[in-house]
Amino acid sequence: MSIKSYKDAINEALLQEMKKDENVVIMGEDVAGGAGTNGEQDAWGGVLGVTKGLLGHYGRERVIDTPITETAILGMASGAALTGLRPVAELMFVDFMGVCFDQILNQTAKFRYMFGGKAVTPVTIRTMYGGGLRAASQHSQCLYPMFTHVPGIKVVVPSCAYDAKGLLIQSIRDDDPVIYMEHKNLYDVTQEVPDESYTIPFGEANFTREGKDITFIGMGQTVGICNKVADKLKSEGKSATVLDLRTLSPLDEDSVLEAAEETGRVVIVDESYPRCNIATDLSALICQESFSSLKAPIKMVTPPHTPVPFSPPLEDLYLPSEEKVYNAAKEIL
Amino acid sequence: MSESLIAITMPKWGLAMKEGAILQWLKNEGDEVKKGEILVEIETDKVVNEMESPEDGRLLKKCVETDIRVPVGSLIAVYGNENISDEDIEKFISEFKENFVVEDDESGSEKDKYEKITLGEIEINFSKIGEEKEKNILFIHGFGGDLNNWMFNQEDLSKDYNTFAIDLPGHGQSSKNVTDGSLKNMAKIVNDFCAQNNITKVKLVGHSYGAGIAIQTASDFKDLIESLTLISPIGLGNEIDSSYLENFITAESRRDLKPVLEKLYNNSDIITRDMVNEVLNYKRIDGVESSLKNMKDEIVKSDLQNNDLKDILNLLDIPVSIVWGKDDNIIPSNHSEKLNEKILVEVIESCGHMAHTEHASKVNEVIKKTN
Repeated sequence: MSIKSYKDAINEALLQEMKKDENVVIMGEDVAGGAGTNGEQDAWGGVLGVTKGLLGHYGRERVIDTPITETAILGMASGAALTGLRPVAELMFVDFMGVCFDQILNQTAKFRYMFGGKAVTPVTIRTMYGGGLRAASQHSQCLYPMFTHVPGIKVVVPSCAYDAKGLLIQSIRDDDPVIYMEHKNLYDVTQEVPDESYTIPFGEANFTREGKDITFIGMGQTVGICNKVADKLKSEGKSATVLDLRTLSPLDEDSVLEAAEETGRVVIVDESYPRCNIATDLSALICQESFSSLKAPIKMVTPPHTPVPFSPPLEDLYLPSEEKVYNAAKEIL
Repeated sequence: MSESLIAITMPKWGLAMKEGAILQWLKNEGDEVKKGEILVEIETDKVVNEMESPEDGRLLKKCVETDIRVPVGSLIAVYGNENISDEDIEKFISEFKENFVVEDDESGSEKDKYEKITLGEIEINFSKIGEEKEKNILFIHGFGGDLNNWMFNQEDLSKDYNTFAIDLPGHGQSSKNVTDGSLKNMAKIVNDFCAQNNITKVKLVGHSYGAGIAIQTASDFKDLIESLTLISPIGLGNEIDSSYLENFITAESRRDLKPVLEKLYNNSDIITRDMVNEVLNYKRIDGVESSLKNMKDEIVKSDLQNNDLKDILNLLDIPVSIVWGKDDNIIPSNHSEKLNEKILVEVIESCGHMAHTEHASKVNEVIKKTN
C-alpha cells in the first residue's frame, strides 16, 4: 500500500497487466511520443503523461504511437481484439468519438452478438472527459450517456485512484469492449492504493458515505462533490449516504434502489448534458421501483442544456458544484 | 483535589484509528460506573463498538458531544467522587486540554509500527506495539482475517507486553502466494518470524485457524512458546461450518459476502458496508483466492475438520487457555469440553466466533491470566 494519484494508479494498472499478459498492447496518439523522429523517445506518454514510461518496459511493439486518426485507432484496436490481443486504445478526448463512432456503435459493440457469441472483443478504450479545464466545448464533454445507451459496450467511470486501478485491470481482463473514462480533474487526486494487482467487478456501486437523511448518487468526478457536501451536512447534524456508481453499464440497480430507499430523499449529480443522461435514467428507475419510499421529489444537479462554455466564469456557472448540490439537498431536507 | 479525578480518553482501536465519535452514552452524569460496564458507543472509520469503562468511578462530566469526531486520546469524560467542586473539574479539564497533543503522522511513531520482513519467498507484514517490556505476545488471526482483527486487544495488552500481530501469508499486507497452507508450514513461518525478530520466548494468542497454527507451533518449537491462548480453535473436534469457508472464498459481491460475515458474530449488526468492502477489496487482490483455497483444503476435508490437535494439546507442558463464544456458528463451543483439566476454559455467553472483538476485555483478561 502506498499513496498514489489517479494517474499513477492507471499507469500501474497498465504496467502490471502488460507484464502479466503479453497480449496486452497499448495504442494511441503519442502514448509514447517521438515515433518516427530523431527526437526524444517517450517524449509524451500520452497528452498528460498517463502512459509515460511504458515504452521503456515494453518497446514500440506493444506501445504503439498511431497517426492522428481516431477511426483507425479504434478499427485497429477492435480488429486486434478479435484476433486474440487485448488492446488498450487511447482516445485522447472523448469528444473525438464523433469520427469513430461507427467503429464502436456498429462494429465493436455488435461482434459478439452478430457472430452468435463466438467472437469476443476484449478491447479497452481509455479516454479523457469532463469540464473544468477551460478546454472549451469540443474538449470538455462527458458523453458517457451515449455509450451507456448502446448495448454491447461496458462503460466505466472511476472516481478515485483505488477504483481507477482495480477497474482498469478488470476492463483489460474483460472479454467485452469497455469504454474507460478518466475525468481530467481527477488525475492528481491521491489515495492509498495496493501495490498488488486487484480487480473491481463491474456492476457493483460503492457506498462512500453512510447516512439516514438524504442520498447522493454520483459518478466519476461528481462523487467527490457529493462526499464533500455529505461531510458539510454532517457538521450540520444531517447524515447523508453517497453512492458511487463506478460503472454505468452494467448498472448496479439494486444498490441505486437500496440507497434511495434508505433515506427517501435523493439528489443525483451528473456532469453530462441534462437530456437523456444518467440522472434522468436513475430518476426513472427509482420512481418506477421505489416510488413509495420517496419522501420528496428527486433532485437532479446537472449542467444546463448547452455546450460547455469556454469563458471561465461561465464554465464555473455551468458545472455542478458543491454549492449547487448543497442547495439542492437543502430544498428537500 | 484533582489527583482524585480520572481522565477517560478516546481509545485507540487499531493502528489506523486517528479519530472517533461518540454515538451514544450509556451512562449519565452522576452514575456510579463499574470497571467493565459499557460506558459509551463509539464510531470509528471502520467500526462501531461499545467502550467499556476502564476504571471504577462516578461519571462526573461528559466532555464530548455525540457525533463529533475527536482525536484518539482526547478527554471524553471525567470520573471522581461526589465531593469534587465544579471549579476543580473545569480546572482539570482545561489542564488536560492544554497538555494534550494530537498524535501526528509526521513524527513517524505511527508508521514505524507496521513493518515487513522477508522469510524466504514470502514477505510478512506485522504490527508491533509496546517496547522494552519483559514479555512478548504474538497474535495470529484466523482464515480470511488480518492483524487488524486484534484492534481491541493489541493496544490494550501493549501496556504490559511487547506485542506483535502478523498478517499470515495470503492475508492482509503479506504476500499472497500460499501454496502450502498446512499447520506445520505455518508453524515454521511463525518460528522463523520470531527468530528474525529475536524473540526467544513468546505467549501465542491465536484465533480459529490461527489457533491451530499456535498449537502446532507450541508442539514443534517447544522452547519458543511460553503459553497459549486459543480463541475458537480448529482441531479439537470434527464439526466445522465448511460452507462458511467455501462461501467466504466464492462471494464476489457485497450482497453475497455480508451474510457470510454475519455468521462470525453473535450480534451481526456490527457488520457495516465498510467492513464488507474491506474484505472484498482484500479478496480481489491477485493470488488471494488460490491462497485461501490452499488453506481451506488444510482446514476441512469432506466437510469435516482435517486436523486433530487434541492429543498434541493435552500433552503440552505449558499454560493453555481456551476462549469460546457460546453461540459460535463456525466451530461449536462444545469442542472445549473434555480436555486436559489443566487447561483453563472460558465459554462466553452472547458471543460468536469472534470473541476477541465481541468481548475483547474478557479475552484480554484471559490472555493476562495465562501464565
